[in-house]
Amino acid sequence: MKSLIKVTKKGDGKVAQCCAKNSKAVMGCHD
Amino acid sequence: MEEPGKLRQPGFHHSYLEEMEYSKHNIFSKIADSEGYFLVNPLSRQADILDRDEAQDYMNHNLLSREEYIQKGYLVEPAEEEKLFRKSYLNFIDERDSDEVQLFFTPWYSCNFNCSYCFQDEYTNPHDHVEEEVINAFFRYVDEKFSHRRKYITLFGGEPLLNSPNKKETIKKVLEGATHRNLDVAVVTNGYHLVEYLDLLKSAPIREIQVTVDGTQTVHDSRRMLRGGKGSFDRIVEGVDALLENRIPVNMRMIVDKDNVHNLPELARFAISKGWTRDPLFKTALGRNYELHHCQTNQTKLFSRIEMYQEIYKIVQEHPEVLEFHKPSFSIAKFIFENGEMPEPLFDSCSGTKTEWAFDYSGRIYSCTATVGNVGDELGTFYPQVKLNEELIEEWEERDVIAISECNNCPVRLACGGGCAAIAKTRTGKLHSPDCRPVKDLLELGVGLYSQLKIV
Repeated sequence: MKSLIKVTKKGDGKVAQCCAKNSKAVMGCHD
Repeated sequence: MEEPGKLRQPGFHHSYLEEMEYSKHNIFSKIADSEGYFLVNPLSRQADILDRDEAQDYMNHNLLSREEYIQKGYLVEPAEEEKLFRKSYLNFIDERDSDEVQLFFTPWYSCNFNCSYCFQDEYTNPHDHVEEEVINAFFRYVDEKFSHRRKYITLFGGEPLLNSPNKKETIKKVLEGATHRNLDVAVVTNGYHLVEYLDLLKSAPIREIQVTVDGTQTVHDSRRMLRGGKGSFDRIVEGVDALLENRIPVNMRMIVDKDNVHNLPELARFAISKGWTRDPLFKTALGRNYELHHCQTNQTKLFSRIEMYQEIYKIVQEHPEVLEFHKPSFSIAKFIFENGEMPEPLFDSCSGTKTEWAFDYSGRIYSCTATVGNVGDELGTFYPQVKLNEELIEEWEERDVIAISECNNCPVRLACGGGCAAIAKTRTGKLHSPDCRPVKDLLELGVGLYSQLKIV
């Protein structure tokens, strides 16, 4: 197995929730 | 005989002497155009590439290095995994409660464009003028209801940047209200009047201007034209240049369907030639054209989510310069390769009523941009009086992969998050129903693409 996890210290790990939050700024629910 | 998915672990701590199982959250599949496979677990936040032999062993439940699978949470004691699931859920709720809230304000639904795929084209605009007292009431509501939350305002429409003295005055008041409160402002605009609005935008704390560009000139103008039919491309390009020259961040969004996806490489090359892609204040998004609220005239042009990404995967292989313009997410694949870590488990992908609210000029309150202005989706009013439909709001607030019964046994639920509530409701009539994301299929493509590129 080759891990894709490269960081041991975790960042905030936040991904966009709604597609609207792609940029954490403006909308875009089409995605 | 061992049951499928269960493995015995001799020599482990007593609790591990119980039967171990493959995690319910393992996502395993073959990588596109590769001999390799991937194994991803959004709960334990692990992601691995398996060679063919390892994958065969995994499929046959014949693991050679069980310790590694246990350590990474691919092989679990179910009760222990349930504890981690509950802990992660509480953590998700806590984090979200302290997350920034995006507050959309729609000053009107009017628009100077006649886009071929508009989802608001059946909206009516009984009034075309927003009263100052509505803006004041909006900010009073923001001050009171979100006093302890980090927040920012986003101007939405219709088209918020319409070029008449009255409309400009309204936008100015909203910008002043935000500036006065130290709130950032984002704007979702078609970009036609950016130059006329530049001075006003320069005076406010603008976080980002989202401008939609659907391709290079001919393609864009055939989809996003003025009401009279005139093209809009040249003026938008001029506006984007002006924003960047004035160091105002731009988020360029291309809405994609079968009619224009082929133009993506050309748009990418155009953006590269303009120097936009080298500017850290320039970023991009790809949006899928889809049906919301009502059927589109020509449904055959619409992509499903996986179809869109399959097409983009092919395009990027042939035109890698596209990646200079935009790196598609392929679910969580881009995140993993860019950050070298897994995102946090996503118990809810819908931000509506949690970290997103939408308000319009009529004084109505909605959950998000997909519902704002849609008759029947109102959650209350902030003007002329504050009145909330608590029961409906609670239903929105409670929607997550635990509340949606269809998500309960889905292995990809913590990467999917249950999808968009508005789409789910349009499709099933039920808010607590899923809008499933094809996570496994997207990862097959995304892991394939990004592992070839070796961007880690």
